[in-house]
Amino acid sequence: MYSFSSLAEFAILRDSIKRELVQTCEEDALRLFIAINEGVNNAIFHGNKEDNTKKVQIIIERSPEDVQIIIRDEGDGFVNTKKSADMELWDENGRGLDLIGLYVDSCWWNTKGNEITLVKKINPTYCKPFGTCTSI
Amino acid sequence: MEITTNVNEKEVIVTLAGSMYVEDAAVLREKLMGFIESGYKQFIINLHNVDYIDSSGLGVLVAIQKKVLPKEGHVTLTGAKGVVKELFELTRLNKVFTMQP
Repeated sequence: MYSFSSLAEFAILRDSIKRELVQTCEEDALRLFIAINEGVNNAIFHGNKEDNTKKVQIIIERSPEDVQIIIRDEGDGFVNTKKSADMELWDENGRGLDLIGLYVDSCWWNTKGNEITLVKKINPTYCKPFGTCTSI
Repeated sequence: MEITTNVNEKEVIVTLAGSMYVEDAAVLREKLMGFIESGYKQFIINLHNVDYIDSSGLGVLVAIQKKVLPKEGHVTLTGAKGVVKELFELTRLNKVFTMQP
C-alpha cells in the first residue's frame, strides 16, 4: 500500500509504483500507471482539494485473473456525471477519467465517491505466473 | 522533465524530454504563455524523447493551441511515439494539432 499527502510525496513514489506494476504485469504496466496517475491527480486535486492533512492511499492487488487497484482519498466524495462520449476535443481539463476508462477494463466508485477501483484483466500469455508476483 | 526552448524570428521550438506530470505541465504552461505574451504564435514542440504525458500536459498543449489559433498561429507536434502517440490518438487530439513524425 502507498500512502501520501501531497503531489510532492506522490512524485517520490511514482518510480516505486511503476516498478511494482512491471513486476505485476510488464506488458500492461505503463497503461496501468497512466490510469493510476490520473486517479491520483483526481484524488489530490478534486478529492482532498490539495489539503495536505488528508491522505491518498493506493492499494494494488493481483489475482490470477486481474490486477485490482484501489485509490482512496479523504475528501467529501465525487459524483461522476460525465460519460466518456462527452469528452470534448477542445477542453483543457477533464480528460483524466476518460484516460482511466480507456486503460482499464472496468472501474467504479464507492457510495461516498472518495474511492475508485480500477480492474485490468491479466493476459496470461505475456504476464508472469501469479506465484512470481511481489506481495504487497 | 527537461524543457528546452529555442527561439528564432518566427517560431518557438520546444524540446521536451522525460515524463510530463501535472507539476511539469504547470511549468510548461508558464513558459509558453510567456512566449505568447511576447508576441510569438508559432510553436513546434518536439516530443521525440517524451515517454509519458498525463491529462494535464495534454490540457496545456490544447490551451496553447487555443491561444494562438485566433492570432493565426499554430502548434505543431513532432516525434510523438509509443504510448504518447497513442494518447493523442485515443483522445482524438491528433485532430487538434498538426502532428509530424
